[in-house]
This record gives sequence, structure tokens and C-alpha cells, in this order.
Amino acid sequence: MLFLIRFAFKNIWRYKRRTIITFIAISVGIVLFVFTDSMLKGFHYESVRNFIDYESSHIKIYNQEFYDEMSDEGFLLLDKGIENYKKVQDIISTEDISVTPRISFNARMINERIGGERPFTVIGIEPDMDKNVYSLKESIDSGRYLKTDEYGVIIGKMAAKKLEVKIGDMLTILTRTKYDTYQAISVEVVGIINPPNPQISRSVAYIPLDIAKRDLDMEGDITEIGIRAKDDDIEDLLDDISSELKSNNMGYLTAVSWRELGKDWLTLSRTKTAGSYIIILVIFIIAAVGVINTMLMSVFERIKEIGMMRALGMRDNEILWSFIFEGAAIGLFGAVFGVVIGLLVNAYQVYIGFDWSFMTNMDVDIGYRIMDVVKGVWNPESFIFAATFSILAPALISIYPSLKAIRMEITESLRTA
Amino acid sequence: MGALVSVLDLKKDYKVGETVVHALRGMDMEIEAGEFTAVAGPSGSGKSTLLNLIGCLDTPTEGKVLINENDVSHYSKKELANIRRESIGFIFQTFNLIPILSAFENVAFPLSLLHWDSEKIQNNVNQILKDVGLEGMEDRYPRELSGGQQQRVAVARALVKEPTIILADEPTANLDSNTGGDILDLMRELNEEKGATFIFSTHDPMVMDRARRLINLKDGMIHSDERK
Repeated sequence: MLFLIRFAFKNIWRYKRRTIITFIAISVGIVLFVFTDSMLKGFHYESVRNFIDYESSHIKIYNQEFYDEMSDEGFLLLDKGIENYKKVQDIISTEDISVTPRISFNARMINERIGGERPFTVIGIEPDMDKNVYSLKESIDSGRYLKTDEYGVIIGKMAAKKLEVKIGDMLTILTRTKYDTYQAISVEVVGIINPPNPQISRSVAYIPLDIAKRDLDMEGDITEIGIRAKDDDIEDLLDDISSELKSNNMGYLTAVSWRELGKDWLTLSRTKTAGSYIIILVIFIIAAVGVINTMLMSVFERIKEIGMMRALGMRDNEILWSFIFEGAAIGLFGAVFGVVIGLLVNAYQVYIGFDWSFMTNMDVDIGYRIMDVVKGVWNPESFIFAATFSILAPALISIYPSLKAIRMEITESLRTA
Repeated sequence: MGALVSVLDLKKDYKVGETVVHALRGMDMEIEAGEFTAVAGPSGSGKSTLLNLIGCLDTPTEGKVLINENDVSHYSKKELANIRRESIGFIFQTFNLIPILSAFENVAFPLSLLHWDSEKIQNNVNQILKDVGLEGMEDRYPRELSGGQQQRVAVARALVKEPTIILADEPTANLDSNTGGDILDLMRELNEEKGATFIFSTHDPMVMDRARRLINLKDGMIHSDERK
């Protein structure tokens, strides 16, 4: 067997140029596969992180009717809020979670200085509690974080650019109260945030919860409670909270996980991932065609030699194995080269990352919650899969032409030119 | 003690399209160990077919081929491969060396198939390369050797495992007459020194002249069989 392996390794250098082209095809396939896999996983993890940190928290509690209307139509019905939310907080509070109340409503924001106007989702937050659940405070780019009971607003950097506002500018929030009457709230821009979540940066503004309660006639109601757990695995916690709500006669409330809240973009993300893997599959098929070509040619060009080796007493299974080893050897060299380059490219992606702001700055929803630089993820399985596939595929591909060659009569093989 | 090779009422038919070609039409002959035999005859007379059957590369339509009194006519592919591997050496008209292997490696190839240990391979290959006049050329690749030198490598490859029979299919056909003569002298020396049995197919009068036995074929039958 060792002799056959040595023979196979010698044979791959028989046609150097063809072999090198095949190595390169395999290597490029591996590099693209591990790079794309790392990138997509990076996009996904980063998106999940940014979705939880800036939008969904781990679990949200809503009035069921509010949640249904928000999910189906995108309307935020202030008259379907959570009454006596402090009691809800008391019921669900444990040492392992942080909670915060919020009021979310739709509004139009007008720059009082120049008159520009844009639609926004405005969220009333309790500054001291909110920072334990969401990451707004850490993303302050200029100005400062909100204070309780001030007519101040924090908006995202992309929104600030669109509205052409800066710290100290006045904005008018045009909306409707809980009783559907028009309301205009004048607020000063106290902070501009630069969150790594384009949805937040583009179209969400934050004001103090007290102001929202008062100016929207909420009478103490809020629209949601955000809950932060110690880790992302919150299924048991979700069940516990749902049970607690039911057993305390709060069946009109619903607890919703971040997975449920993000199901639209998670589906989109999965679709994009599947699409990307199809592209990778096509690249792999192109590489495989190169390998098939190499193996077919290397067998069919050696029919006479195969006949001679059989005449010298080489058994059919030895010939078959020598070509399987030859295919595997080509795959092995391609895999080693591809994995080394893949490691280098991916190391750059994992530790430094690539800037994707050209996509996020286009003012369109790309599905992912990412901004600027996104780092990749080490996924040893993708390297192992790509390398194994690269070695096994040429080895298996070589079986067909080899079988064809050894099924020929020896005398016929020897007559081949 | 019987003959090394016995051919009994040997027939071989080929189908070419709808036509059946009778390559051998019932041939009987014996070859003793140590003979230096040329099989001659015009194209289509059955020379190559006879060598292929003796060399276990093909199986007869009818009749028997006995090697060392063993009837190989109905052996399986694997059994035939084993006989070729252990007992038969081949020399081809077009040398048929493996281009990616050096002269040494080409000669060592049949020994590797027999799983000889590397020291024994080293000794035998070096000795036979010396015997065929290629000492110092062990590391050369076929492309770096002349036609005559390549055929010497092929002779060494056929002889290195000390087979019972060496079959040579027109071994001088691709060589100029001087080189062909040298190769024939070499094979005759090896026949005399080592007692190796050679069977050639040939058109070449020089080969016929130097053979100690000349079998002439015509239309798939033995036309004449002359020992010198």
C-alpha cells in the first residue's frame, strides 16, 4: 500500500501545470467557502447581539392586543398598554434578570431649525433602568445620555445626518396620544448615538419615560417591559414568566422571546445564508469539474501504461487504489494550500474584520443588524468539512475512469496509442 | 520433467464487427526451459496472439496453455495476474517505461509489486542495471535515455525478478540495427548466463538469425519449427 501511495504522489507531478491549476481550483473553493461561512456566521452572531442589545432584549412583555396589532400591521396602539406595570415587574423579578419599562409610539420628527421631517419610532425609556437591559448608553457618540424628566431626545447618527441636526438643536415630535388626539412635543437633542444596529441608528429616537407618559396621556401605562437574562438561552425563563403572568390573572399580557420578535429578519438571514451557500456550492461544482477533468485525463492518457502495469502483474484493485490515492493526493495538496490561505484570510476577518458600511449606509434594510466593521467567526467545522470534501471528492471521482480502464482487455490497452 | 510451456490444440478467435477472425487455428508446440526462441511470420499470422496467450494476457477460445505443467487456460483474472507478477517478464516494442520513474524505479517496479524488502530490491536492481550496461544511469528518467538505453531498462525490468519466461514483442522494431544488435546480444548473454527462457515475436531477420530456435507461423498455424 505504501508503494502505491508513493507512486500516486509521484504521478500527480506528471502534468505539473494541470495539477497546479487543479490545486488552485480546490484552494480557491476552500478559501471562499471558509471565508463566506465565517462572514455569514459573523453577520448572524453580530445581528443577534445587536438585535438583543438594542431592540428586543431577551424577552418582552406586551398587552396581547398591542403585540398582535404591532406584528400584523406595524401599528403601536397606546390604548392597549400594560396597566400597573410595577406590579408586573414585582411578579417577574428575580436576581437573574433585569427589567425596564418602555413606551413605543410612531411619530414624525421635524427639525425646528430647517424644517426637515422624517418618520420615527420614538421610545420612552427609564434612563437608570434601561441601561441594565439595553446598550444605548454605551453607544453615545456625542452629547450625553438621557436624564429623567427632561425634554431631551437621543437619536441615531444616521437619523441625525438625514435630519441635519446636531447636539442642542430642537426637534418637534408629532404624534397622537393614547386618546388619539394630536400632540406635538418639543425636545432638545442631548445625545447622538452610533449603535451597531442600523435600524436604531436610522429611525429610532429616545425620550425619557416620564415625558412620554405625561404628554401621551398614558395615565401610568406603558407599552412594553424589556427583560434581560444572563444568557441568550431563555426558553425556560420564558415559560416561567408566562406561567407567572397567567397565575396572577394577567392573561391579557404575553411574553415574547427575542427569537419570536426577530423572526422576520431571522428568516431573511437564513434565506440569505442559504443563497450564499448555493453560490459556494456552484464554486465547489466548478472546482469539482476541474478535478473531474484532471482525473479523467490522467487516467485516459495512461491507458497503455495501465495495460503495461497489468501485464507486469499489477492487480486491478492495486491500479484502482493507485488512482484513488492520486486523486486524494491532489485533493490533499489543494486542501493544505486552501486551508493555510483560508486561515490567513479568516484570521484577518476574525481579528480585524471587514467594513460593510457601504451596504448599511444605503438606507435600505439589508436584513442584518450590522454596521461598519463586522468580524468573522472561527468555525473549525467549516475547515474540516472543506478539507475532507476536497480530499474525498477527487478520490471518489477517480474511481469511475479507473474502473473503465481496468475493464479493458490488457491486449487492447497495450494497443492504445 | 515436462516442457516449460506447452500449447495444445490452441485456438483463438476474434470478432471484428460481424466477422470472426481465426487468429490461431489449432496450434501445438512445446518450449523447454532456457530456450531462445523467435516466433516469426507475416502480419496477421498469429505471433502476437500466441505471445499474449503464453504471457497470460489473454485466454484461448479453445485448447490449452500449460506453464510448468499448470493449465492456465481457465485461470481467473486474479490468478493470471499472479502468474504474470511472479513468473513472466515482458519486453515491449515501444519500451513502455513509466516516464515519472527513474531507470532504477522502473526496474524496481515489478519487485515492489512482489513486496520485496528495500535492501533486496536495491541489490537486485543495481546488479541487473550493471548487467545490462546501465551502471551510473540509475537516476536518469526515460526522457534522458536513448532508445537503446530505454530498451535496456525494459530488459532489466523483465529480468530483475528472475521470471520463468521472458516474452519480447518485436523488441528491436523501434531501434536502429546496431542498437538492436546490441540488445539481442545482451539478451542472449543473459539467456546463457542466467538460463532465462526468451520467446520473441519478430519480423526482424537479425532476430531470426540470432535465435536458437525459429518458429514460423502462417495463417494461425505453425509453418516450420527449426532448431539451430
